[in-house]
Amino acid sequence: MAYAFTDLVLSTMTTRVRSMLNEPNALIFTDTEITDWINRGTNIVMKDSKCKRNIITKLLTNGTAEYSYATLFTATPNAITVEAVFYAGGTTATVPAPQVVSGGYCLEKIHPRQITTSPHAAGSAPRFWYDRNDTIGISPTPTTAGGLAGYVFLYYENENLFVPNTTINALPNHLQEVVTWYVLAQANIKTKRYSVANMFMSIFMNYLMFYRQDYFAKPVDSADMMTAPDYTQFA
Amino acid sequence: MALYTKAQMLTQVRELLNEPVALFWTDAELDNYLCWGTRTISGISLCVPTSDVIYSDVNSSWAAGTLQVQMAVDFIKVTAVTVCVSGNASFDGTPIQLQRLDIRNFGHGAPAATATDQAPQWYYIWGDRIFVWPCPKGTTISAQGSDGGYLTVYGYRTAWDYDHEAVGVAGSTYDVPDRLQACLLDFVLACAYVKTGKYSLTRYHMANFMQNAQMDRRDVFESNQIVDSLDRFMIPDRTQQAG
Repeated sequence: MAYAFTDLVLSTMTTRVRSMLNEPNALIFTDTEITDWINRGTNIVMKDSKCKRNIITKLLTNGTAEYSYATLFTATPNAITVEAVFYAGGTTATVPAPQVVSGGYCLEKIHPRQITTSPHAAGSAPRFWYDRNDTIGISPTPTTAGGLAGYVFLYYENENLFVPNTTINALPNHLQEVVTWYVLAQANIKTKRYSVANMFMSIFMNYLMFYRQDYFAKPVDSADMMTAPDYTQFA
Repeated sequence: MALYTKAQMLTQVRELLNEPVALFWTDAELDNYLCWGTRTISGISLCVPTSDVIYSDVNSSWAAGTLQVQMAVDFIKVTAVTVCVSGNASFDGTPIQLQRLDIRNFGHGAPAATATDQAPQWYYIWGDRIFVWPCPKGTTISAQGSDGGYLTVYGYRTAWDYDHEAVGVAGSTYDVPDRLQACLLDFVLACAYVKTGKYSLTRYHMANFMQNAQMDRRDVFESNQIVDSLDRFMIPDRTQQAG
């Protein structure tokens, strides 16, 4: 059988931490504590690396401009931020799958204070969106077009899709093992070795920020990058 | 052939720890640190290039008329995407390099998002999904087995283990290049010294590891991202400075 990446599970991580703490069996550190630290570390990595990204489809309501996170993210809670909103329109009651192109465009994000200065008249198709107090607003306010106000796809980042106390494999491969450093920092806080804890936390944050840049900060390709330079003029 | 096999690497570690036979550190512990270090160094130096080829057959998530496809590889970084669409004379068999966009660009400009039966031009990535726009539809894409329409994603992934099996050959494949194997020793030592409470040594070896790994990233990965500019093919004109 060909080898493949083996996701870390809680027991593997616990064994490793106990090995590094030189405490193979629970004396100072209980398994419950270590599990809590692993889960907390996983949650921090998930939040700070922006590694969990999802899409949901929402049917807008005629005459309703604002939709709270609580009503939008019922299936996958704990959305952190919404990155983009794609307006797909819609003239039938069939919910379009987000991967199928049926026309539409991404809305432009604005600040709520800009709503009243919208160049688009009320009643026209949505052009803008905003995020205010965990509420998504659409402007101009959706109206009925062919029977429906239209669908939007929300691209958002979320946390806590992993199963607590079971696995940390909800993280991408390269982020799973970073959690170890966080756990070691917590363990050393308990034993009051604060400078050591500080060192482990520095290592943890160093890795985390490094990976965040790689995973999250991805620039677009400029036009120049798509064209091979012409050296023939120097021949 | 690797500079060191896994067994040789562990021997090197034990030599540096001055513990040739397992007493304080078990073989399993050191093996675990070596595997961990291998994965870590691949994340920093981006030394494991890989690609994911997604065919457009009926069993694939990239079917005609779909914009989005799930990637099978957990990429750390995607550097290029090409698409080969059959059924169109202009694009048959020739991969097209796609341009990366921001998600907000989608649906703006020409061709419109509704345009289909055109060659794809752009892509963007959201989570583990890649979006290709315009999406091929109808006659512009045919199934694998005919002309082989397919999407290829190029990037870098996490290493799996220091050595692992190619099919049928135990321990035959090494994810980390030879040049990084010595650097890996620093990571293993940094982890090992945590157990002894010699934290200043942990700090010393971890700093060495990070510096070497990042230097390799600059030397290899980042230098490959830089192309030659036209200026580099011209002899500088200094005649204006003469006299």
